[in-house]
Amino acid sequence: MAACSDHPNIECLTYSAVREVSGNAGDFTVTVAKRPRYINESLCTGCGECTEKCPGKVPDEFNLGLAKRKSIFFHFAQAVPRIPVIDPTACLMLTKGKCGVCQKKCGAGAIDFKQTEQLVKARVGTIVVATGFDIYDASLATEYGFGRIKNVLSSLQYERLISASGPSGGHLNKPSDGKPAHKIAYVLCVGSRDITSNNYCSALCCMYAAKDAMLAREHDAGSESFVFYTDTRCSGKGFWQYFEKARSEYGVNFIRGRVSRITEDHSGNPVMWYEDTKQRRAKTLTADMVILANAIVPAFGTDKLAAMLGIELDKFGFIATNSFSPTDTNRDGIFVAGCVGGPRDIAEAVAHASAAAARAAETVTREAAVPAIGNRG
Amino acid sequence: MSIQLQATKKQDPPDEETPRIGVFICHCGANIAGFVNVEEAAKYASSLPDVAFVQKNLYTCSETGLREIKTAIKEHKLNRVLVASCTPRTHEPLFKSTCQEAGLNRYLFELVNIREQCSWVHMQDPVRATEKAKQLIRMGVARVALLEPRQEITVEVTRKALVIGGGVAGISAALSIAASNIPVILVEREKELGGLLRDVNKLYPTLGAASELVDEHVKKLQKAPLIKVMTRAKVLNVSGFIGNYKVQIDSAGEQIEDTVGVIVVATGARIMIPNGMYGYDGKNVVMQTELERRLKDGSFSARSVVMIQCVGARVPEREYCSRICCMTAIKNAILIRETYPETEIFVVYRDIQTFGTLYEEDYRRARELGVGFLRYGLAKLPAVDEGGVTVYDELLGKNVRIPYELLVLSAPLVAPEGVTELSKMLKVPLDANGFYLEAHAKLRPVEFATDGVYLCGCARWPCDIGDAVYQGRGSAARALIPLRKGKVYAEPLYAEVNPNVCRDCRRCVESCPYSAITTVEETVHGYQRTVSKVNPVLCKGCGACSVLCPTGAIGMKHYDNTLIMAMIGKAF
Amino acid sequence: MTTETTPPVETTTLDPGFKHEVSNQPGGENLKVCFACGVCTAGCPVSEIDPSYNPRRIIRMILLGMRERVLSSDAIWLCAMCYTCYAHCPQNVKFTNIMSVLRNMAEREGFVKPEFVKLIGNVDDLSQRVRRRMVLSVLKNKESMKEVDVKKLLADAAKEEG
Repeated sequence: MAACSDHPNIECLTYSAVREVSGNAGDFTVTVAKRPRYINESLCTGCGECTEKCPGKVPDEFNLGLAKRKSIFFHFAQAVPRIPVIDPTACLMLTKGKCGVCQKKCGAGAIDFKQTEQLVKARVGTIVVATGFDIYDASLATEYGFGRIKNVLSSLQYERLISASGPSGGHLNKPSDGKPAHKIAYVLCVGSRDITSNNYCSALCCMYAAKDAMLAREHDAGSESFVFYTDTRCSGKGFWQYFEKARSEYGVNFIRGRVSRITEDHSGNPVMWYEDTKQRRAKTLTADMVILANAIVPAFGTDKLAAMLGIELDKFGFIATNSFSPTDTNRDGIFVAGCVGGPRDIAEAVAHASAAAARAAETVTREAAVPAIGNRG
Repeated sequence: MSIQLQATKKQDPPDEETPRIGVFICHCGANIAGFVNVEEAAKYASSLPDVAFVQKNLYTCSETGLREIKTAIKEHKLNRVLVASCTPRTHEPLFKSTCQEAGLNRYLFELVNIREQCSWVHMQDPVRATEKAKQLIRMGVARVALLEPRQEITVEVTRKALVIGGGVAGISAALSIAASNIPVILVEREKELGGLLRDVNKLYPTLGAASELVDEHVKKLQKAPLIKVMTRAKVLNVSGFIGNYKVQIDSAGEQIEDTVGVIVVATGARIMIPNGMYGYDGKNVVMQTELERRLKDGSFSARSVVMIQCVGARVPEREYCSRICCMTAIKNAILIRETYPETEIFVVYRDIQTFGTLYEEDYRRARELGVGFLRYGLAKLPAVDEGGVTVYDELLGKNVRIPYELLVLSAPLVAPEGVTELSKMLKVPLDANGFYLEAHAKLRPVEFATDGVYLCGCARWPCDIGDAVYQGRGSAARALIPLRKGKVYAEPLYAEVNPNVCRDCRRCVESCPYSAITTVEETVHGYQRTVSKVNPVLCKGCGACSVLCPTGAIGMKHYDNTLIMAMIGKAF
Repeated sequence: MTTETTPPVETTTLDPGFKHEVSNQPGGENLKVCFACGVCTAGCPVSEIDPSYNPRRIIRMILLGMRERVLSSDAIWLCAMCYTCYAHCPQNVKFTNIMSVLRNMAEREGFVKPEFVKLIGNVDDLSQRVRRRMVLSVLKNKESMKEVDVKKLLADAAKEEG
């Protein structure tokens, strides 16, 4: 992120959304709406003092609701640029016209409650769409009790829990009672490989479940990990070896069977109902905590963006690409990078993004009139 | 190997003036000043030797703070600058540029971190936090006083690329590079381009003909005048480094020499021949490629087909999944069931690899068409007899014997012949399976740690066509950075060998992850000796060599022992 | 149905046409798309009380062509037709419907007599009636909730309905 924002040829417009696109390959005009941060970006030094005294307390999106944040906040500690943003729906000054503590605290005089949305026009030769993905809302898979059973979490919530800089300081504590979880189960294919939700494979979950299970074992050697899978998807570089390591060195239990439902026992522990298909027996397993591997799904708004750009979606709602030219959309000069075209792991997304850059470079080289980057009309 | 550096020589005259150090201490609002007594630290700083000027800033990184640095450099004739603030990750480049703008060499700047490493971690104890801040500033002053001006290194890049391997990955890389008007030499070992695709009948997931895709790529090559295609060709020798590789190529007996700026490795893979496995005979027990051939020429006639997956893959000898075999089997099973509906097919598998959005529905399509799937485990491998395969189906818990007229083995992609030789020539590493090892498994997947050498396609890891195309183009994008700039810049923070002390043990050569160190013949005090030499362009200044050197012959520029000892000397 | 390793199933007993035959009948259309995840078995109330009853394994046996074993097995009559497996299946195999297909085939092909099917029908009918009565009896004691002798209730209910 820092490398990107520091690059002399890259102008980052954060907290912004594309509103309109016109033109063709070689000369697009893009209208971008810069949402108001209520902070003067050129004055702010990123010291963060404003966030200290803010009285606001709102569920923190970055920690997926596992912690609270202030009304003026950094999205996360390493956010680039290091400039906070004021949440207009929570800030007392913006909602009720009183408070202004941040303004008093800011030594740089950077708080600006009068800021409004700015429209920025840019002429560009080519466009790369890299708007990423969302994760499947696990509460839609009602049989798994997400949102109903406290100790059933999503994989991203787990990432925050196991993170040393996360809301629990890296401890895997049960949301129900705050006590450490020793027996943790990971349920794969939540909202994927399922014709009633998404009949595709989400591609990353097997690997991160193995990683998650290993992390839990590293965190607490006395803990037990159970991964419920149907087929292990391990075709990436070094992946199968990684699974074997999880199994043999870390003692992670891999159980072949899709969980049918999750219930809650009297002490609030989640109970998984499944068939161990290799033992051919229907069983239950009671765990302290269950982590659901929610599917990668198209990001909210991908359809609108695609319509604005005049590009097609595939049947799942990701941006459609050619199987043998997986960075190309149906429109010349518009390319995709990463998960906006379907689930991809980090290495694949990085190589894919480089490929999109190569295609973009081809376009601007080919088109005679190459407008300068960031040339605002 | 000759190193032509534009500006390695020190252009500035040796700095013989007395150091005049300016110290700027940041409050960072209350982040630092809330716990460290900045006033006291500033007073202390002004008492230190060579310190000519001290200033406190509310935010050193703000426009005001930066202006104050520039003004002080000019007004107080400062020739060294020290900022005590946050981590260098946030603002060091900014402060360096500020010094430069004020006419000071950017390497005469030093930053000490009194926020993350002091105020934030000692919030409970402001007195000792202040003491620590003073200590850190004292050490920083000792170091900055000894710093020397340095110049960035610049190397001219020959605007030409060599792509080794004419499969779909190599062709994609070549086309992308040539699209930026940069000439490419594309070297293919076989007499035809197309690589593994030449043995493929139809492609998944489209079921289009593979030959059409190869033709399409070759046609694009023919339309790209900047690409020189050499078939039946082999790279004989490579020397040099990024920007200036001398390459020697044999093309059908004719030898050529050329200079290229970068090299892309796209040497692909081959399919393992399953000799001695499951009764492989090439007639009734065949590989998927042979099945493809029979489907293509219409000689396929079996009424019952069994396919065994993971033949020699995901086993202790080959600890990996070959990625393409499940979809190859599913593709061929679909083709057979659609064309020969009387033929029964069973696929004997371990885990089906239909990842992502493109393939899961093909797996379902195959099942809809009545292709049977049986799951086996490593503990009980399928047993083949004349006309039947006995499988212990884990999910049924029974041995089942399935009759076959044709048994098809899905064997993995393995590294092709010659990889060891080429990897040595290019000084790039291989992994345990003989595939090329990229610089970083996640963040730098299509380049090597050695600058100027890139990789893509099955040379890196088994991959399908879509993967090969985007990796080819991805490696081209990385290669185009130096090619389009025409220059490479390197920070002058590199290792340097003192030939007087080097005893040619070559531990440094082995330790270097970037292949930056070679040995050369040099005259030392009138004696001809072999000593190590560091290529400053390739060296990243990691210091691995310096640690291993038994005689202390290698030091790191800008981080040499004198500087470090000076800091340690002032630490206590 | 047992799970121990048995000698190879003889080729001659496998009927590759069986799966096509089942899937060609109304209700059997989605048989072949099963990918053996086990969700059907995991949710099945019959499997819960009788571990040898395994819907996923029955599908597997059909797909392999174990015609005789499937059509003559007791398992196809054990299904309670509750549709739990049907609702949970991620591939929409519709196992409950497949059960109906198998029962019809077993009857048609003489694996069971028509009278047997009628008896099973009676069992289903009776068990529903008995359940209804028992629930009503329990509801009568809704307030006190003590000392409900389920076994006695069952006997009474069965007698009355019989």
